[in-house]
Amino acid sequence: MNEPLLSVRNLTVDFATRRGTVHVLDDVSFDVGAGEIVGIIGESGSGKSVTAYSIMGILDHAARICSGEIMFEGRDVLKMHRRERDGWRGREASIIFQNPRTALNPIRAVGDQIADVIARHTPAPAAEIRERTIASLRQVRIPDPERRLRAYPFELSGGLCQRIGIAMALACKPKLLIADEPTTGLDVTTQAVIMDLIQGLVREKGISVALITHDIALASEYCDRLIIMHAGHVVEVAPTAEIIANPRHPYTEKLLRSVPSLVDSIDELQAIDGSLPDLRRRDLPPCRFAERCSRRLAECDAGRLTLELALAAPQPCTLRKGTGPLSTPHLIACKNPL
Amino acid sequence: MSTLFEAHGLKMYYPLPQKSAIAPPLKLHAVDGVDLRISPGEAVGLVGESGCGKSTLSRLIARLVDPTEGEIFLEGREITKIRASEFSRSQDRRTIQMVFQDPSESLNPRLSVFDLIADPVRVLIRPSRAELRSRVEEAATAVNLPLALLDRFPHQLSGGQKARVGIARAIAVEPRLLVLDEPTSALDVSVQATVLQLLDRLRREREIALLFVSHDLNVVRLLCSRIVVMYMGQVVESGPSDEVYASPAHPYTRALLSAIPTLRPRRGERIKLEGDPQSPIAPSDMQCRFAGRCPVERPECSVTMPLLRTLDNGRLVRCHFAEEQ
Repeated sequence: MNEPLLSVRNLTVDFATRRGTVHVLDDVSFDVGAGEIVGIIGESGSGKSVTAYSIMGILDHAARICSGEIMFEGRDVLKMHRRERDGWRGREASIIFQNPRTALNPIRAVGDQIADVIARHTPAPAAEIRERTIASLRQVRIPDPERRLRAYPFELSGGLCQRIGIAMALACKPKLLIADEPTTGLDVTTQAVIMDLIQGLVREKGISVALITHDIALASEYCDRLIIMHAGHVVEVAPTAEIIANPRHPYTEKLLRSVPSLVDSIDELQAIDGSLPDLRRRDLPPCRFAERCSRRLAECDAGRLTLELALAAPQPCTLRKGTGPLSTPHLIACKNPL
Repeated sequence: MSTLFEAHGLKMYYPLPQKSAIAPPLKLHAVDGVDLRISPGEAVGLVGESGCGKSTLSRLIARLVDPTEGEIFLEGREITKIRASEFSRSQDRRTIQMVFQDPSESLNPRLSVFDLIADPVRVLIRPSRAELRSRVEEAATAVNLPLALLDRFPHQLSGGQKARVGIARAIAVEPRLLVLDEPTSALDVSVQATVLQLLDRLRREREIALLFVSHDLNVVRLLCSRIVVMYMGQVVESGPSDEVYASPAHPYTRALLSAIPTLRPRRGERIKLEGDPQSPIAPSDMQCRFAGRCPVERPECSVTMPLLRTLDNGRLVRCHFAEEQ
C-alpha cells in the first residue's frame, strides 16, 4: 500500500460552550491518498467542516483537539510549531470555502487577494507576483484576467467568485486541497462547471482532494472514495461505486433512500427518523446512530465501536481512471451491519 | 378541468437609478410576460436558476407585490385591481398563502409557535378564543407538529420543525393555493423527504394546489405533475413532469437536467453551459434570451426572439428548433 498523503488518526475535538462541552468529533480516522478525490459526506452537524478546519489549523478558539494525529507526508501537523504550520497552510494544503462571497475580502480587489497568498509563501519581485496572479486566474479560465485583477468581489457573479477562491487555493501549488461545500449556493449549471474545473485541475496536477459535502449524489460523480460521517463519527468508508451499490452501515443506507434522484415516486422517499443526538450529553451511546437505528442490538450499547473491515470480502473496486493506487477496503463502524 | 388561478402577461420591471439626467431610464426585466394556469389540487413546479425571476413570479402570484403589467384571476375574478397592500387584509388573502424559503429567517423569533400559527388566523378570520385554539391545533396536527411544541420559540426547534411551522401557519386559514419558495432548500435530505411527503398529502387530502418553486428538478419531478421552466423572466418550457424529465425540448431544460448530480448512471454526455447569461437590464426583444449560452445556437437566434409555442405533443416550448432535437 502506498503511503497516504494525509492520514487522520483518532482525532477527537471538543468545543467548550456556556452550556457544557460539545463532543464534536470522536475518534475520527481516515486517509487521503496521493492524487485521490475523497468525499466526506454528512448532514449538518456531522462534524465534516470541523474535520476540515482541524486539518487546516483554523478551528475556533472554543475548540480543543483532545487527542489524535494528523499526519501529512509522515509528519504530524498538530506537532508543528505555529510559524511552521502557517507556512504549511496555503503552500502544502489549502482550502476552498463554502460561500465565496463571504470568504473573499469585500473591500480589496481580487487580484490583490491572490497576490497576498503568493507573496506570503513564495516572495518574489512585484512583477513576477503579478505574472503568477494572472496565470492563476487564467488557469481557472477567467476571461480577460488582466482586467479582472482589479475587480472587487461584488462585481463578480457567484460562479466567478468561486473561481477566484479556487485560483487562490491553487496559487502555491499545494499537494492537498480541501473543498468545503464549494458549490453550495451556486446554481446547478454553475455547480457542474465549477466541479468539472476543480476535477480537471487536480487530476492534471495530481493534487489530492477532500470534498466536503452534504450531497451524496454530487460526491458520487466526482469522488473515488466516500467517507460517511454521522454525529462526529466516521461510520463507513468505501470506494464510491461500492458504497452506493452495497451500503453496509444502516445510516448510509437510509441516507441513500432519502435522495430524490434515486426514487421514482414520492412514496418511496424515506426520511431518517429522529435527529442527531445532543453532543453535549455525557451518556452518549458508543454508536451515536443507535437511538435512530432500526437494527439496534444489545451489543450496540456495550463496548467501544471501532471502524473495522466489513466482513464480506471487499469487492474488486472499479475506480475511475487517473486515481492513485491506494488500497481501498470497505470499512464500517457497526455491530449489526446490513 | 376547472381553473383555480390564472395569470395573463405578467410583467415585473424594476426601475434602476439613472446614471445621469439625460440617460434613458433603465429597467430590470425580472418577469417578462408570463402566462400561468393552476387547477384545484394541482401541483405545479417552477424551476430555473437564481436570477431567472422565479421568486419574483411567486411573489406576484401570491400578490405580495403589484405587477408592472398583466392580469391575475382567482376563481374567475380579477384580483389585480386590489393593490398588494390592501390584498393582505382582503378575504382573498385566505385563498392564496405563501411559504417562504428559509424557515429560520421567515419566522419571527419573538413569537411562540402558537402565535406564529395564530397570527394569520387572527388577522383574516377574527375567531373566538376557543375557535382560534382549535384552528391552530388542527393546523399543527395536520403537519405532524406535536402540540407540546406550541409553547416553544423558533430557536428551540429543529430545521424540519421550523419548516412545518411555516406550512402550518399557511394552511391554518384554509387556502386553496400554496405558493412555496424553495421550502426545502435549507433542509438536510433526510428531513426534506418528510416535508415533501407532507406537502403531497395536504394536496391530496385538502385539494390545496401547490406552486412549488425550486432549483432542484429531482424534487419537482417527484412532487409536481406539471413543470414550468423559466429563463431570464420568460417561460421557456412547460409540460407534464414525467415527459419534460424524459425528453426535454428546450436546450436550457436539457442543460439543467444534465447538470443535476445523480446517483444513477448518466444518460449520455453532460451538456455544459459556457458563456455568460445576457443582462436582464433592458434586454433586446430581437433575440433569444438564451443566445450566447445555447449549445445549439444558430444565426437566427440573435435576430428573432422565439415565441412560446405548442408542439405536436402538447408541450409548450420557446425555441425555434425544438423539433430538431
